[in-house]
Amino acid sequence: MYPLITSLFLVPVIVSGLLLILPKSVARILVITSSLVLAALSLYVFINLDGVLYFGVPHYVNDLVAVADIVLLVYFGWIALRRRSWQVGLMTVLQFGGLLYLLKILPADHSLQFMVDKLSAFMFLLINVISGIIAIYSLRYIDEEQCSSFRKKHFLSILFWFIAVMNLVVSSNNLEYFFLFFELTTLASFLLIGFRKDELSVKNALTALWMNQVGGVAILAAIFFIIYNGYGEATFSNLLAHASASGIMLPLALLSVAALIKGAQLPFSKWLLGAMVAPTPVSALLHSSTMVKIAPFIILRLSPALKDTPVATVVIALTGFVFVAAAISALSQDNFKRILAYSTIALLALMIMMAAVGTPVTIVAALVLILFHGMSKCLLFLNAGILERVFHLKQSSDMDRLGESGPFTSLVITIGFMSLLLPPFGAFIGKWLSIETLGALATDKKLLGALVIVAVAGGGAVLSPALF
Amino acid sequence: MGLLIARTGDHDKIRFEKTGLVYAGTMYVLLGLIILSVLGLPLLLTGYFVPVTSQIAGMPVAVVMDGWNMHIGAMKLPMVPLLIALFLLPVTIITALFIRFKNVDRVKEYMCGEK
Repeated sequence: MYPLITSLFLVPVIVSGLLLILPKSVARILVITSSLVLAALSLYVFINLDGVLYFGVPHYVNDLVAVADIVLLVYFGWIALRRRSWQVGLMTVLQFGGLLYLLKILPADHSLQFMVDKLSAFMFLLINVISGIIAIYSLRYIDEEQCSSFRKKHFLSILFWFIAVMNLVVSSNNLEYFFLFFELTTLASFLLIGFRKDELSVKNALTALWMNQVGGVAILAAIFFIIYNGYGEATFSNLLAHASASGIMLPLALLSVAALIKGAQLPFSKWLLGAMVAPTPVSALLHSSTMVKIAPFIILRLSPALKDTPVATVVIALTGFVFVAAAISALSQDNFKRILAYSTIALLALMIMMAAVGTPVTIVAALVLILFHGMSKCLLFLNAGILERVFHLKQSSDMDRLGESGPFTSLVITIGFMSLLLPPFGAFIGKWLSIETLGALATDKKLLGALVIVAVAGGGAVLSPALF
Repeated sequence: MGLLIARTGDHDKIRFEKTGLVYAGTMYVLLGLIILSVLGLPLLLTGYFVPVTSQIAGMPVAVVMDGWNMHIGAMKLPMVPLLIALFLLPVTIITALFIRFKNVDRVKEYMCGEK
């Protein structure tokens, strides 16, 4: 099993490198075959993985991770100077200071840096299948983009590098490693959002960068408090082992903040909305199907420790509000991709909420939503690209009578929206399980139930126009 | 969705557009995955979601079929309405796309030049 899991990290990295040098025709074959291989590998891992697989890496890899952290932050600092972004600069200084301090106090020898369990395998399957489809779709989409042939290769290369980073994020046990991979996803979103290099793309890429860097600062602070409070190594497994300790609340809260930022929850939703300027495969890859799923993944990973804590109560109340506020905001949008972005924020809120409640049924609901939302949103986003490229349509109000000029496309969009709303599709099942469980929650835990109901019914309706 | 499937009546024959192999192929794969996952939902629940949940929650999650109802923990999922929905939804879309009504007013309301 270990070589197969390692292949999920190495194959996309190798493909990413090869795509930069191979000719177009060979690159196309490589993208298709490697997408199929990665999907097959992740399916095999999911079926055959029993229990939890912990594994460590040689000592020198720890040093490499520390160096990579520093190099990454130096790059962020260079971006801050080049683009004159004080927010990126401030976040980079905070991260740099925090990292240097942590490197002094962290134990010299880490063990068991990686942890692969059923949740990781579940995420492998989602990441590799959905990202593979998006990579194949990108072959044509990016071919039609107005840019140099090297930049087209570069785009596909970043996609595969991103797949590798995502596979690493969901396998990390050590929080220092997790910080690096979390920040590498941030870097990927910065590069991909700013791909078109126009003024708006660069501005929105910088917004995505500094907002996600806040999440990185929260992870570093969580590592600090785990070590400061004497709970040993900063790992997810160690955190769960000390779940009942009172001093663990702060690290849990900080990691939840990182999750909420990555999941574009209020007040950090702006980066996801701005990301819609990127090429459509990027919107599908980073901002609907895979990257934002790090948010519910973190909460699910921490779920046994979070359950029934004040941190969980705050997360539930906040996401309850965001769920309705973002859904209402989606109604007021005309741009097709912005409608999808708002509905993503709303559904991510629901997934995080269900993961934070932490009962077996709500965890099932969260997983069902993660999978089906990933497939449906991927379908809709890729269709947004087809609408843009084939029919030259961007606004939903211009799609009047698309049924005549593009019956297949309108059929697919209709099924895509239905699959997010109606029975018997999985997203409906997930929402239905959520509502049933929240009903029980409101009966059993009156204060939390009242908070959720007030947030959902009152706050959402009244505040959403002001906030968005 | 209403706007999408609205028709003027100028084109009574349905002609599916050609978007190309890559675009159409990825759409077919995703549609296939969504439909397969709906059809195989009981299997997915028991073989995909429940093992993950059991490991996260640290306790087994019971998924039991009781006649036409599926019980997930304390929750009951009625399968009959879901199967009816699975049949009705495509019928609704196909009806909207293919069936044309004769001798009905198909003119859109006049909006004084405004869209």
